[in-house]
Amino acid sequence: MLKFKHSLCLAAALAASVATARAADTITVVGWGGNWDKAYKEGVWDKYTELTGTKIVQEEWGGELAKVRAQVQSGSVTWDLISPEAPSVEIGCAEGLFVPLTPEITGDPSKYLPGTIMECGVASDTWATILAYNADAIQGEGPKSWADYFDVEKFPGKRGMLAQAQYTLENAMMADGVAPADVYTELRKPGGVDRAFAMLDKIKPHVVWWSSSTQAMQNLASGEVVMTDQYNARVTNDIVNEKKNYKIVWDAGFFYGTDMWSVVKGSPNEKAALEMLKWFSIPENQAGFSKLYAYGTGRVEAAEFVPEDWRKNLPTSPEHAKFGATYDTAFWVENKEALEARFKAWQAQ
Amino acid sequence: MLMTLLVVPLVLFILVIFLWPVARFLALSVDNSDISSNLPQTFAAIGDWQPSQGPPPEAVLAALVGDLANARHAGSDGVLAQLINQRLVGTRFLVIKTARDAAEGRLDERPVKDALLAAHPGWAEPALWTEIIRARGPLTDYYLLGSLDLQRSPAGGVEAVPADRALFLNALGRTVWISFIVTVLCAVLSLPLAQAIVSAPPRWSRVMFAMVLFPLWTSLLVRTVIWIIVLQKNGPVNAALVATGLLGEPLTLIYTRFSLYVAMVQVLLPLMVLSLVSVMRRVPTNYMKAALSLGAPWLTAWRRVQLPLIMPGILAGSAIVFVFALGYYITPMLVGGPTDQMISSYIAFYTNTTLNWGLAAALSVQLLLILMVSALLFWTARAFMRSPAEATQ
Amino acid sequence: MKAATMRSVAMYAYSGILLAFILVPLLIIVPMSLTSGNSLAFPTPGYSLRWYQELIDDPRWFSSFVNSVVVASVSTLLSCLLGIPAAIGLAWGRFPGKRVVYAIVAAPLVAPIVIVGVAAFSFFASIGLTGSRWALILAHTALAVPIVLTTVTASLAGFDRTLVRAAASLGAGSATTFFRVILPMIAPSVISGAIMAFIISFDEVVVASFLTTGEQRTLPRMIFSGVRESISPAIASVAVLLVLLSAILLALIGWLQGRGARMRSRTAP
Repeated sequence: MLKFKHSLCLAAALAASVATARAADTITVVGWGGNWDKAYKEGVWDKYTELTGTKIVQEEWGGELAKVRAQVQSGSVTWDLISPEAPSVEIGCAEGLFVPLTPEITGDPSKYLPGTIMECGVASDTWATILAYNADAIQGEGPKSWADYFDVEKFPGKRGMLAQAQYTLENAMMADGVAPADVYTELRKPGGVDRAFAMLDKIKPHVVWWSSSTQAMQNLASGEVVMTDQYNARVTNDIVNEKKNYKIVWDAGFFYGTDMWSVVKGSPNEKAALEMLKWFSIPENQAGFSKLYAYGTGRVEAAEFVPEDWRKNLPTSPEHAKFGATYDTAFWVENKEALEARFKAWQAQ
Repeated sequence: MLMTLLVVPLVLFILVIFLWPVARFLALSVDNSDISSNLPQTFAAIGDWQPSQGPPPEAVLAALVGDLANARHAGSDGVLAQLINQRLVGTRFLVIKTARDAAEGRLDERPVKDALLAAHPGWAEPALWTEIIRARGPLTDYYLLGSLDLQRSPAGGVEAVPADRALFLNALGRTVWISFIVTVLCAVLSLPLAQAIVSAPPRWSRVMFAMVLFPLWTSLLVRTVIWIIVLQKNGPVNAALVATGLLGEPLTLIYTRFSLYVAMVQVLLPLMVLSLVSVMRRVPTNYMKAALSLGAPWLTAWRRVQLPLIMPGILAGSAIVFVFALGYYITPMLVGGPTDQMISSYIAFYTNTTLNWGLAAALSVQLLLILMVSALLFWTARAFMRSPAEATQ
Repeated sequence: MKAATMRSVAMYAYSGILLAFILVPLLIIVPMSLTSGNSLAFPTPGYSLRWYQELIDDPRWFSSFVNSVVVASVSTLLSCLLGIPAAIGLAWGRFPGKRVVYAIVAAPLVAPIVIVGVAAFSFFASIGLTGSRWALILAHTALAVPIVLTTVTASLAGFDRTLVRAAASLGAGSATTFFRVILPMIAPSVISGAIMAFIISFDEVVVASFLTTGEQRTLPRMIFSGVRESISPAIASVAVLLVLLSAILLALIGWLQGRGARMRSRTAP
């Protein structure tokens, strides 16, 4: 019998450890994983923890709004502050999944770059999807445009390509000679999407798909692919930290988008999360991330806290911005589900 | 009585924690309540009205505004908008923003028609109303049809979706095909090994058996990950092939159908060996000896005498391997390419990335149907095989 | 006779190759995980324990390990609490519908794991249990309990029930009979079943990936998200440790079953 009592005690102890509630001064922050999370931790969150004692738990996600909706609808919200892309913030805000932010939290909205502040979110970062190539793998002149990326005769070798419709269709349109600013006008025309898929058909046998940036960068490093589409900071990171001979072709044209910070409605630590956002809205605090990771910030003055020679790596720097256009939130909100399904069907053919 | 009571807690547990959740999830494949329960007044007001009869009547629009305001207050307008947008792309913001205006009292004046159509002209579209009327009722066949690449035509009949959207028949076929090939490979590869285990001296037999069993209790994820490491471009297999001069430069082995077969066979082979061995142990060896001593060539003797006797084991092993393979998810996802994905990964995709529960549930229904039909086929085949084999014993 | 010898040589040679195909991958990652380099290239540039050190240094690996141990322990305990009585009831009881009971209990074994994961996610979300370890523990219990049930049922089949009657005739209550007579006899198979249940929960990744987030992340879940990012040597080292753990636990089961067989043969009439 003694043994039995003993095992009951053990069970009770285990049960207690399972049920331990999270401490009140812990905020769960959901970001994009990998070095992005690391830069946020080292550049921003650690400072906040040091300042206030608030513990910050980092989680990563893939930007699926559905997961937020599932939490809010079931009333079991575990995320406090999350970083969705701008289109998701627009939908989620309209649906009431996020807490609206007041200027008291965000500071003066006119001090932000266009598109980096919304009713329910402030920019966590502004990123671009660019064309990059491995200058060690390509002798002589490198690719100059997206048309070159699609031209395997001129530049033999495999291409890395993001395995989804969003961002990829834009690249295909640019390769077909459409200027970045006109891409969505063309995509919205009847047959516009077909035109992008027809372009993708040409390159399909030469594609190595990627779904995580790390994977794509490893393929570029190993020579598996000679060029790839990529988020700009991942390439900069490898050029700077690993001394790789990669080149970013900014003037081929690129699209930039904004990730936001939004507070989930019904979050267990809403107040603490809003408090932290308020602190984050101070330009110097924001810049902590851009200094470590080559993405732009929301507040204009934040750039002043980024060293001059590093600023040229940001997509928002004046020398690059002229080649870029912004992602069309409305287009993807309406078309994403249908186009991603079509893309999957096309991929599996 | 006491004995029955002892079983009750477990049965209740499985019913509540396992069977009920699965049944509940599968029911989502025909569930339409997210649309029908959000638009009750609208459907009542629509009655017999058809979009072909002209613009929607005032009563319908007023009911719509009321329904959307309620949906907004209940927090269900987002899902409603997503579901309507699935059926007619480009209507998501129309629904959400109308719901917002309705809830905030901006569409309160009567007649509502002018205010509504001025602010949100999309509601004048006949195509939208055709879709809404079709989505009437508590049940829907939309997802089950969709999971077979079918849809309702404007006239109400069933038709194939456009070729560029056809996805699932292909995926279902691929799932069955990959499982079939893996099963055949496992059966053929296992036969000699199982025979060796049965005929080896007891000590060796035990060692070999343990070696087969060991991977079965090693994490599936770990075994899959190991194949990525082993088959990658600068992994040991390529290194060996290049070092021995068989290859000039490394091959792409990983993220192909080949690597998927290799990994799945390695993972599932032990199950086949297990059921072969258990049957072979019961088969007497003297039939084979008799046939050989009567002068039959070995292969003929094996095919005519031994094979029928061990067939129940082959069928049982194949049934297990095939059924397990049908549900594979982790392995195709990690070692296969985009053309090697099996149906489970689509179920996960629609759950995780778009929260299209209806479609995920419909695909699950198809997978379970395939699973049950193949289990039934194996069971029938086995019952059919057993009679002649057992008659000889 | 000559042909027969050649056939059996060929059979054993083939078996050796096939066993190598099954087992060598599990071994070859051992040297690879000991690499001193930054990536998993073969042959390795040099050997070091740095990636094992990394596992210790990175708190995320350690906390996910702790999570896995907690989840697997509690589900094992629940599986035994539910499975052992049910096994006794099924082995000794006489009641209609036994086959139905077996079918219900075996269902988690054959159901495609993604369906289990998605269904569990939607169910636990609807009752507000996501984001707590209990959801995963309950789901894992459902997956592990059939193993406990079959192992214990098998050992009860060879159990001499006159012992139970003898204990009862000497005035022992049913609790005493269970703990003093039944449990010691079936203990080896109970422990084997429990170990297998533990392994099932400890290794499970799909349901865990639907049910857990951040703080409750289990070790397989951690490996899974790591693999999708990139295969670092750290992952190879975790793989080695997990293979080692399975080997130890399986050796334990083998030892217990040998002991169980000896015990039964000693008490047989």
